[in-house]
Amino acid sequence: MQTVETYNDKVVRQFTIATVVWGVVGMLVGLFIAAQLAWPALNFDIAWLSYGRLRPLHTNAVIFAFGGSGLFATSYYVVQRTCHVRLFSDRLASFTFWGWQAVIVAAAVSLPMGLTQSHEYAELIWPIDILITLVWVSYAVVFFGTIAKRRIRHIFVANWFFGAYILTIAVLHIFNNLQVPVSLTESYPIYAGAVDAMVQWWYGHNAVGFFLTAGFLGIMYYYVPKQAQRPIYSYRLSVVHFWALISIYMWAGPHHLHYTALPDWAQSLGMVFSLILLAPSWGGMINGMMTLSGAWHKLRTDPILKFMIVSLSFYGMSTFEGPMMSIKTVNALSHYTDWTIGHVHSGALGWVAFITIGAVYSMLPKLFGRERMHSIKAIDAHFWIATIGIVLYITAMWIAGVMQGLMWRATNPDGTLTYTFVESVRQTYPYYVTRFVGGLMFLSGMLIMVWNVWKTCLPAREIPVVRVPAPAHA
Amino acid sequence: MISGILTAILLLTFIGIWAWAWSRRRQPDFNEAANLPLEESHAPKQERDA
Repeated sequence: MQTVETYNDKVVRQFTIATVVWGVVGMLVGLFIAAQLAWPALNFDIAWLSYGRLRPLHTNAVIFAFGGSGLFATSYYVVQRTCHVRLFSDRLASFTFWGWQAVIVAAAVSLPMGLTQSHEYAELIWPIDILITLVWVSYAVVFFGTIAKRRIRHIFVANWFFGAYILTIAVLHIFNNLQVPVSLTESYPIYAGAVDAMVQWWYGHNAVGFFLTAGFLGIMYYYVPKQAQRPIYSYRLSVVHFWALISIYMWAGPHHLHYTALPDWAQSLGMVFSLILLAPSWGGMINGMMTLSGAWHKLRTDPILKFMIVSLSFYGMSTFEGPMMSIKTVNALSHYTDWTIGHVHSGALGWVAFITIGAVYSMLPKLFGRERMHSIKAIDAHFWIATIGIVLYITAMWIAGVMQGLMWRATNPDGTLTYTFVESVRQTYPYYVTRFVGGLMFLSGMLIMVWNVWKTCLPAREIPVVRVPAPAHA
Repeated sequence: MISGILTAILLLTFIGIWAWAWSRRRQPDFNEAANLPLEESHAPKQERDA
């Protein structure tokens, strides 16, 4: 009997549910540390509840557990459907799921214990780094293996973005984690001083560029046309968008190190490339938004589309703000202040989380054999509460950041500092409370989503199996 | 000198990609590719696992 080829949606379902679960966990930790900044007594004098240990737990959980699971789910979903072929290896795909979950659990245990490499976004200790490498190489094999056996000759643009993200993260992860282990939990980096800092921000900024941008642009190029039921505004622009973005992003890292021991020319180079980045970023944003041209009325009735289009608005906003903050004179004011935190969250909540949430709402019902999500009204409620939450969050941090920057550099006529550091902290309290409220609203939205996902998945007795379409001209 | 040449080559490559993407010959292929996300509407056959 001839067996019919079907898509491997099991691993997509697993990662989709993981996305929602880790989203709630990661944002809950974020909310808790936001509360600690407003009410410091909340660390209860317990070491593993202290801000310094929980902050990396929050960033790792939202970026790699929530965002990462979302990228695994969507890339596996998209690559199969745009190549008309089943995933390369079911076993390896399953390993990426369980391996990635093991990494997340290991991070959730080791970080509160205070075990860290002390590199931002690369805190995890070396044994976990090795596990990440194994999972990531398997991911690359599954993804590129699927591309290799595709039945559609042209490689769809979303797959180029996913492919670039997978490849680059592999390179970044390996080179930024080259360490000499001295025990099971301790190691020393092979780089020192300014070189170490440069490698760290080459890694750090490209984690933003390829993990948090290219990967999610892959989501955008598939799910926005799908949800709008219209092809992308300009396919050829998407090709230029891809090459421009990946060739420019690589060089922007030094803007994290303005006015440090890094050579001045390297700082200026980083600034110039950051400014050029505005062009491909906005090209991509416009391409996504204009997909709705002639169908704007769909925004009135489809809250999933609202999530996606607003995510593109936030993408445009933060990719304007980023280059602006990379200008040295602006950076002199903004660096080390809460403005940076506001900028990051307009990207992370507004762009990354919103496009992920939109994609999950879009594909989850199909994965579980339902026509649509249990409650469209709940999606709408989620959208509004989350949007207002983000706006509260980022405006509070903008004001706090500019205020801090101005207070820190204010001097008296005799050259002494006008304010002590702690005075700026005192002045920031109201904004920390506002930020907490914004975060609480965003998390509440996620809880609405959990309920909606639960109600959508639960009645599904029969999990659908989707056939790979027969070749058009065999 | 070498870095200048390299920069020029990269810049020309980028312009080349641009010209390639906008060329008329690419149009039909790109149109087909752009419709890939929309096709599933006629595909989903829900069956039990064999």
